[in-house]
Amino acid sequence: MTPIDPSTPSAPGSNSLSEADFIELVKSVRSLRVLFNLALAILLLFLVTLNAFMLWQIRSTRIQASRLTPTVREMERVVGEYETNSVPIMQQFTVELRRFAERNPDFAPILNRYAGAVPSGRPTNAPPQAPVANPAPNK
Amino acid sequence: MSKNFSITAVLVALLLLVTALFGAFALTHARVDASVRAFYGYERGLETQIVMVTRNRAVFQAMVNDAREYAKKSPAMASLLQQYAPSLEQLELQNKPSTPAAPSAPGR
Repeated sequence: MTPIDPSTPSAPGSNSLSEADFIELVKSVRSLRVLFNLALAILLLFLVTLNAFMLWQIRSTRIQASRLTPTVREMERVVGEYETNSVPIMQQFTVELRRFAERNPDFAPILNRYAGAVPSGRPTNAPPQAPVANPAPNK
Repeated sequence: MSKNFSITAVLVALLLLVTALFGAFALTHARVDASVRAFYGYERGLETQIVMVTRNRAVFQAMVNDAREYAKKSPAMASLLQQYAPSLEQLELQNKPSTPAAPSAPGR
């Protein structure tokens, strides 16, 4: 920005600015600066609002996950208990029943109704893996 | 003039700061969203397992009931059931508490 001094004599024949034009120019620059600052302020406000929304979104997501955590822990407990306590007993008892059915063929039809019913390990084919990072406890 | 410039400078500095914050929040949001999605996937897997556990327990219980019925006419089966009575009672006790009704993932 090089300020133009209206009092400076200009070369003859050149298009010098009149004082009125200069004042008009200064007014325009001021008005543009105000507009620019206003635009900056509006943009700032918009970004602050966006940040607040994003923060709220992050918090609500974490709260939702933390609400679900006790249920997940309970389900983990039930599945773990089933795998460690129930499955071995069920398998052992089924083996005994099969042996019994070999010795007593009249029991075989009853046992055959439950063929494949007793689990051999995890209850599903696709064991879920615990998520690497549980977002719930954060914040 | 300098006052106007200082206001502009302050506004630009604030804008840069808030933009940097926005970037940080966007990254955090993406990270949290990804881990929450993984968590919901894990929860759905557990729900499936719970369904299978319940089904397996019910089928096993039906098998035990049939064996008990058969034991009425077979002393050998009765002695086998007697041998496993504590374990079967334990299993029946585990079957009784209702499995948790897991809330489904909201809109995920």
